[in-house]
Amino acid sequence: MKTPSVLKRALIDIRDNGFINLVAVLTIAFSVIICGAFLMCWTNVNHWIDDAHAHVRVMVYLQPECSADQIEVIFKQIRENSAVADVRFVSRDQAMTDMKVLMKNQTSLLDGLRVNPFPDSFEIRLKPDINHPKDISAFAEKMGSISGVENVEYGQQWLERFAGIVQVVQLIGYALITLFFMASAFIVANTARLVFLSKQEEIEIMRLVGATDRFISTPIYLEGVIQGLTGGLLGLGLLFGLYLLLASRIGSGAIPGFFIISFLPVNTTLVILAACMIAGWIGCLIAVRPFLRA
Amino acid sequence: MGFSGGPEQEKPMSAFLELGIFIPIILFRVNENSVFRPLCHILFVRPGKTGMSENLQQPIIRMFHVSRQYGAQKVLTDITLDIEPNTFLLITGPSGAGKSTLLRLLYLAEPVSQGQIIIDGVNTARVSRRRKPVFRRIFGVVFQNYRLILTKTVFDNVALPLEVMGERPDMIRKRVHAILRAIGLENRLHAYPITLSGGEQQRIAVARAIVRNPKLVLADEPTGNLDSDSADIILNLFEGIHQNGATVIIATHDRTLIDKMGNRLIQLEKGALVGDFKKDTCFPESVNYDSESFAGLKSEVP
Repeated sequence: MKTPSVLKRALIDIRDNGFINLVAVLTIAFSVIICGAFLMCWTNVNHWIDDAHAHVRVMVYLQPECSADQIEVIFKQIRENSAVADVRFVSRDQAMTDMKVLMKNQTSLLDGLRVNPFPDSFEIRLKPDINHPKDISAFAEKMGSISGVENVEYGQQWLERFAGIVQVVQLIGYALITLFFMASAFIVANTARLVFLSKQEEIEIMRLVGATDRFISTPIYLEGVIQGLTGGLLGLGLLFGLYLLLASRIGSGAIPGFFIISFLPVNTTLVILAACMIAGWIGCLIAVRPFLRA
Repeated sequence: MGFSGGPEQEKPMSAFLELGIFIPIILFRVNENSVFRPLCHILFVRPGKTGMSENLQQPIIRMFHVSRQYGAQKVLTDITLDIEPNTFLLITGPSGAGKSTLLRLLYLAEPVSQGQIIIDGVNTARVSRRRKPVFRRIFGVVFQNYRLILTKTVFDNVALPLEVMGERPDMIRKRVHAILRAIGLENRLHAYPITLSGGEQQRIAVARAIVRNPKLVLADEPTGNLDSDSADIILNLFEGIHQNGATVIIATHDRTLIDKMGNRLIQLEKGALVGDFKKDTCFPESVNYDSESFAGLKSEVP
């Protein structure tokens, strides 16, 4: 059996059963959009968490009545700590300026303030090996005990809590992906079953003139793979369109640059396409086997 | 043939015949056990083919006490029959006599209820479901209602038996064009069967059956409902493939076909074999569905 002839037969089948094939392709595309959107969120959140883990930043806020000498002493104490990679003093005026830059479109909100609410602070970056929550917590406690320090913030606590939630969401996501994968396979199976039913007389004749099961079923399998690929490409295309729309909205949003979302990595898109093709193939396998055994 | 206990066995045999025919007969009985088959083949089939004796030629189809029944209804009863290679066999009988069922058993569309069918040395009961299509490639079948694939063009319908065998596209194109030219339908290459007349559809069905030069051609009422011109074209096709060495088996009650074609005729009635006739030139006009009318022909049915 020559490949082009098999492909030709598969394409003719798709053309002859246009509507049911379209339904199958759209179902796969819909599944890809749902699963792809979830994967995109998950990838981005994971990326943010990894990024936060890799660059642990601790803010040490000073009491308002701290003198310059006291600030110098605190600076020395921080710098001498072995966990510290880098330390930067942020004056209250600097903090105000930074905030104005960040909120470039909404500076009027800050203009109304008569008193600068920001305290003097130290921005500390820890060494890369200090990323365990316990180490960070111990470091923060030590910083908090320094005289003149009002408060220590390091954001890891919410990150850990958030990571826990992400894990739960991840499990739900896996279940969702499995569900949609099965749904896609089921829809393709039904499509293949309908195609087979509509071609029963033709298949019977083919058998009578010497067509093997393989000759009969190969184009149907190929049809399922083509359905999967087409549905996958369509779904990813639509998802990319949605991503562009979302990215442009976020880009011009309240805090530009605060959220950076990225599309699915190339590897993931390839895996999605492969999964779609496998779902198509499995669907056909489920549908075709009983017919071939008959 | 001597297997059916015909008149040849009663004749005095020379020592040569005893060695040449009798032993092969005994070993043919062993033959179905298949262990001795290669030995039988070497010892006895080959000399037959080299012209030592025509009688040594192995039948291409052997039916042993074959019956077919649907529930309690017997459609074929105890058919025992040998068909030699290159026979042009006509099966006749009234409607419901079992002609079509007999053909369906031969091309493995139905299993036998009792008995055995050996085709080209293969016991059909032992052909697995998976191997059946491959086994059927030995045949070309013209079905009663043509059974063309309506969603495929004339070209695709005729090309199908070659495609399933994995033939090269250029070879398929050449063969299909040649056969369509032979049946005068080359100009309808891209037409769909639904647009063709009954006669044209029948010709396409015959073309599909013979396109791969099969060893065995089975046809169920191939000239039914055809005008005489279309019937002639089809009969010429069968004659041509028979001349090329194929065994042709046609189920028919077309009197014209019986008159013109074939070198052997069997008659079925209510599922039983009631007449088996050979002819040298043509069957006498007395042949019809009444078995008494076959009296003038040499029957081999015991």
